[in-house]
Amino acid sequence: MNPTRGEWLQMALKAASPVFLALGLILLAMLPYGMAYPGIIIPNVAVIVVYYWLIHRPDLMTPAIVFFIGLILDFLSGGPPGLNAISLLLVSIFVAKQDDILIRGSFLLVWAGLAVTAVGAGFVSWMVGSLYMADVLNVRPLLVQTLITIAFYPLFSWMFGRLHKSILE
Amino acid sequence: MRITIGFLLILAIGFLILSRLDNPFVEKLKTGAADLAAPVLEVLSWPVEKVQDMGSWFGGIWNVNEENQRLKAENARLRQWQQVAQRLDMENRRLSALLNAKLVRPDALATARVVGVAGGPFVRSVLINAGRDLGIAENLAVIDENGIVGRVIAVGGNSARVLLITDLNSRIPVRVERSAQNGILIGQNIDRLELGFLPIDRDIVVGDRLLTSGHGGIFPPDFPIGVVTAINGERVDVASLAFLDKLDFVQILDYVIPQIDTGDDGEETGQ
Repeated sequence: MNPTRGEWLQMALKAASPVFLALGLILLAMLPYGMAYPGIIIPNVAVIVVYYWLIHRPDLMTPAIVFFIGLILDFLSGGPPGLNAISLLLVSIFVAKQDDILIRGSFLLVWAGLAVTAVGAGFVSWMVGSLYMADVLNVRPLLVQTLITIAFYPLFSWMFGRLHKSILE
Repeated sequence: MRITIGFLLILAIGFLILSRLDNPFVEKLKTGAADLAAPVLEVLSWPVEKVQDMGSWFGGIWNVNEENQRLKAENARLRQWQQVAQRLDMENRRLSALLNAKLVRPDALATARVVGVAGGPFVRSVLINAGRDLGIAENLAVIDENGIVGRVIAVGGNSARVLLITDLNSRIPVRVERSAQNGILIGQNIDRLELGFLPIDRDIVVGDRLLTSGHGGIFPPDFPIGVVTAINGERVDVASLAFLDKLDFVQILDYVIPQIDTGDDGEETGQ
């Protein structure tokens, strides 16, 4: 039996939920919280979202979606457009190559994978950003953000897991 | 899959190149995205603001007596300064009128709320909820109650992006208030700024205040911008006077240097 229009809509919304989640978190990360070092002590939510869903539901995190999330982040952050799109696409290549290990691996292994991914994505961003601005960019803010991204992954992973179970399964 | 990723990577590099070339299409996409995000960010920031207000309220209650004593002392001191300022202002106006001097006193074009701290490790910028609708244009100076915040670099219909003075691309001509020496204040993408291009016989000490010199034509002269915090050999570290980490409301100044009429063909050229 063919699905009804309502069922189609429900399926489409479910399929788009990781994208909405990414956009929502990117906007939340942009809010002026009145803290010192704005934009640095907030984790790189795009890397976390893309990494998590590439492992658990790669069908919902296609290269086109990864590119779209990266480009939106670039446009909203005011940084070089394409920078985050490149680093997130490279994240997707890395995760696709390691997915056998990451899917079956323990949480600690997945967390370690995130650490490698965040450092790699940060390095690519730093290199592309330095080339774009024709200057050697200061790595300290990036290092701080990468460490915070790694530290916050368990919390996000737990929240995404709940969402995964309640909506997508 | 590989072909798709390859194509998307090329597309992303294309965006980078077009942006580097200041392509108007890419700029339109950026301002369009900011225009769409600004109202959403404004709504989302409401609960954050309320929580912050509650935090300050509780903090205020905690040391209300101490704060009251401090404010009373500060009020008494400021009253004395008010007398001095009023006298000097009157004297300044009288002498300026006598000399027929053209003073630069830019008015505030608009007051806007900071709705987004669009940054990350490589950029220092904020998004404000005022754009072309309120007459905001590129390169207008932005201030808070303490000093210069930055300048407008992109304008949308209802939002604008302000490049903070701490951004790597920020170079602002300044003057040391005490010694009147000129220099350039350079953003470092961190909270600290550096003062460069000082004269060889530089006269600068820790604690010196820096004001905009007005050279360059974007920032009006004599606005406070920073204070010297450390001098290590050639390097002069500066802290911003504006509270860049805690920006709430900012003012956009209506300051555009009049262009010079060449008189040749009726066109005007900027400086």
